[in-house]
Amino acid sequence: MVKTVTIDWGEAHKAPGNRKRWMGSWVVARDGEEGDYFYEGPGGQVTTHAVPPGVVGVCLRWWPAENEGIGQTQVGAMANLIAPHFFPEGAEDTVNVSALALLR
Amino acid sequence: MTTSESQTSATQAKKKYFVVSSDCHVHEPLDLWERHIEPKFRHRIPRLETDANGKRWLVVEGMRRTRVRDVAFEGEDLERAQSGRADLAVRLRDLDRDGIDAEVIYPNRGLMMWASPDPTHQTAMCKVWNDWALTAFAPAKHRCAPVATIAPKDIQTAINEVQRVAKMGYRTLFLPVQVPDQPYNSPAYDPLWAAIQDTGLPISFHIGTGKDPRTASGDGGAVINYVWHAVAPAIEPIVQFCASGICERFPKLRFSTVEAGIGWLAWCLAAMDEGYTKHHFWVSPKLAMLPSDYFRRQGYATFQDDQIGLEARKWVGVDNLLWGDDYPHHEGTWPRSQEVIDRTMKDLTEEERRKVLGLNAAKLYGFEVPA
Repeated sequence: MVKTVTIDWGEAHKAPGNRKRWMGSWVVARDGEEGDYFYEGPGGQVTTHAVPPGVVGVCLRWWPAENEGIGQTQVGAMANLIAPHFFPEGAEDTVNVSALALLR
Repeated sequence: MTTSESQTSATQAKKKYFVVSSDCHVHEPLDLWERHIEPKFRHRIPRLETDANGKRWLVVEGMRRTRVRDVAFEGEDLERAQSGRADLAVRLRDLDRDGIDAEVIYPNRGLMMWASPDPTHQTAMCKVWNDWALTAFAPAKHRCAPVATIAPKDIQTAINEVQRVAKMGYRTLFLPVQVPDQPYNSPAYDPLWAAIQDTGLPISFHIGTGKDPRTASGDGGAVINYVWHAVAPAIEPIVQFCASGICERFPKLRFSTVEAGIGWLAWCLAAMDEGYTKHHFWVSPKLAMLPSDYFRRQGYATFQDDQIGLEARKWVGVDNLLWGDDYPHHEGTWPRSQEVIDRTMKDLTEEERRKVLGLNAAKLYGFEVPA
């Protein structure tokens, strides 16, 4: 059973001033349903979090800086959602996640 | 003095009318839905995703995935792209610059709230907007009237939300143009129309909502989608309300199309009456008045830059026409609305201009007109 997750949020060169903002939430079901957020902050951090019971993975999303990406859609800048990262079967204690590695 | 300051000064100097833009938009806070929607819906809200080939896609439940490309804006295009946020100081300055006294504010990302076929998802997204928008614009409520958003597919839930937002102080109710598989002429909606009539709030049907307007692809796709899949569908609720007996059963219900232009309106009114009279043997229900009479009594249509529609006003009158600048969208008239007004309304009388530019909207949406 996974007890803690350590996440490298990457992209220190984007923070601050032109930072990307990251948010991380728990994944509570195999269909990708999310639970509470456990992190909000800029790139360039490494954080460790206790994993609540029933959590099967993490979901990470990031936003561009305020004026970055405004032409991407007709409705302005939007959150970029990374596909849910499910904890490996049989994983124990601590799982390490690299946000940048999950970005394609 | 900067360009925008000198333009504001010039606009104010030549301003003669009380002007309401009945069609503006706001860029919602970047994380509005991510932060406030019930967590169980969060992984389903509109978002960007990157595929294995590094291509980015706009992903909206109920819509076709759309490839996202970075666009480099310049000049006024860049200015429009960076405008339209909820920062009131900046927003009110932008209104002043364009000669706008008051505005009705629609969502931006929130235009996709009705895309999902799941009414619970729609409702959850609408509630997030409703909980945010009125508060965000409260300090400028004499000039800024955000719409309340209603997901009508689950009718009892919609009624509850209509009553909630009316108590909150919203001044209009935004329903999608279309509800797939549950058209507005169904009598099942009557309790909703009754509840809305009781609130006294008008209904707004903004184009491009309820069904994916990006239906066509390939050659001509962008134009086909705009004309046929975004603008033209807004005619449907007009006909549904006027011809199906909704207006007769709910004579105080008021409704408007938004951003659909008005060039079609004279034709639509004539076509409704023609269908009603020439197909009388098929027509049901029989109405006390012609369908066009119900529109004139209860309907409105909002336009921005529509010379043809204004020239057809001899068939429609001007009492049911609303103007809007579609701020800050690229197809809108901001920050050059006065130029568009001068170009398209030069043949209107002073009284017609007053009504179309502001008095009709003030009456419909409850803006106070300066003496």
